[in-house]
Amino acid sequence: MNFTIKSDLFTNLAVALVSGLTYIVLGILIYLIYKKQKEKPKKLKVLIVCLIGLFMFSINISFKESLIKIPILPLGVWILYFILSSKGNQEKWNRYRPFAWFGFFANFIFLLSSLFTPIVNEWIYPEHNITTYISNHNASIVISHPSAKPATLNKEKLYSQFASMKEEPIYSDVWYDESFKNTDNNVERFPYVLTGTTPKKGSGIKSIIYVERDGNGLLITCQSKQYYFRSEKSFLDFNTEGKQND
Amino acid sequence: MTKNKKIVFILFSILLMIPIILLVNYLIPHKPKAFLTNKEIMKEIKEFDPEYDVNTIQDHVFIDKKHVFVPYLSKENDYGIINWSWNKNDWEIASIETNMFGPLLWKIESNHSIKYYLLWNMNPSSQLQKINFYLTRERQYFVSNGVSKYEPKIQMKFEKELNERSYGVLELPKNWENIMNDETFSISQNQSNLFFSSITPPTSFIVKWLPLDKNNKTKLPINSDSGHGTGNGGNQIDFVQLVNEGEEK
Repeated sequence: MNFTIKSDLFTNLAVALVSGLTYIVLGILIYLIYKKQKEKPKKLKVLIVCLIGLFMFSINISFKESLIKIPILPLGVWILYFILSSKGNQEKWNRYRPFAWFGFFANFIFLLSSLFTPIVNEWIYPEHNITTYISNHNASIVISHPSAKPATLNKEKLYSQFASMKEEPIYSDVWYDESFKNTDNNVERFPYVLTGTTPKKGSGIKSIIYVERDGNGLLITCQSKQYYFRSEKSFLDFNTEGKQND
Repeated sequence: MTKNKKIVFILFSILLMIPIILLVNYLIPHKPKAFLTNKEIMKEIKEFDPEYDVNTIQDHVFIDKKHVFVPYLSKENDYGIINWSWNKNDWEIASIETNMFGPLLWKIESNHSIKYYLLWNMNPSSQLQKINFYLTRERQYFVSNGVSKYEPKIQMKFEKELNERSYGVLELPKNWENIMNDETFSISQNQSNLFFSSITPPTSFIVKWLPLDKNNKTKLPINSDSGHGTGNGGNQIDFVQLVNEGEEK
């Protein structure tokens, strides 16, 4: 069943689009089957039969951070067969059979749409593109560690470099060790937080963005992943002495 | 139905209605009533726990419409705090502390936003000039399945000058609240979203403090070591711990 898609219908535009499309396609298919039937069953019953037909035994596989349900056994179809043909009334079962099987078949459509969602998501909100995480121009910085030099954000330099900033690997263990090398005064590699940013509309992304001490790096922290971008020029203006050597 | 039966029926239904109305009245949240008078406060405390011998109530500080902070002095001249919150239809004691060593942090949720308040009431003979508050989070790193993650150390400071009063309330600075709320949100999302394998353990912010005298030297407040407290505020009210050595920058 597909309650998960329903429940976060509006948190992410890509999910909303794909699931909306899926339901429209399902509706059209049900209508076409209904039209083809010579003996018209009751409309409400058709919907109920389709819903029950959805029941299945499935195998769940995690694929690229999302859970995929592969339909195996059509439990709903069996239940319906048991109920509808219980009094030896084969005719009734024949009338509803296409819809029962369609219910099971719909699981494959949902499977397809769950595979399709990340593609649409990537298309609207490219994962490795800074503008997915920072879409507005109101950013500012907050010093989050005392080892930071007093500085202000140079918005122009930041926003103009978005296209040219390169994503680089995160050497988290190395960074961690480096910060303790200087024992009496531990130095934080990312001593600023970028605040006032909003992600691209409809993405549903929540993140904290840290700024590297030289003003060239952004560490974007999302729920499950981090992205690290480096720029050519520093986008921080340092207030003291004008020098920015570490 | 005869007339008598009718009357009995009406009386019976009225009798039945009274407890229902009372129950509904109890269950439906009400707008906060005027806050208690000092006399009522004393009475409530006595009912709550007679151990707390409140002598003087220093003030009623409204944090918002539903949360009141009451600093008091006990008969032994210990300084204490009672936190009151409006719970549906009554003012209730959220926590009560006496002879406190450090400030309290009160987490208040309202209208989908979380706000944090620091509260203190300390013996003025300690001669404190200033309290430095800190927001800290430990540095961490993770490497799993080829995915690397690095959590920078966070250490922010806010200085609060004290006045001649023994007590005070301070809302956490906006910057802090923004950062903390972002983090709590991403944790709660992780928990609800079982489908996405999360490599983020719940990292937590800790609020710490450091009391200073007029020479900017660390000065711990005077208190006998019999301080204690109780509360039914759940984990909404917490003690603020002293800052670690090396973190006071």
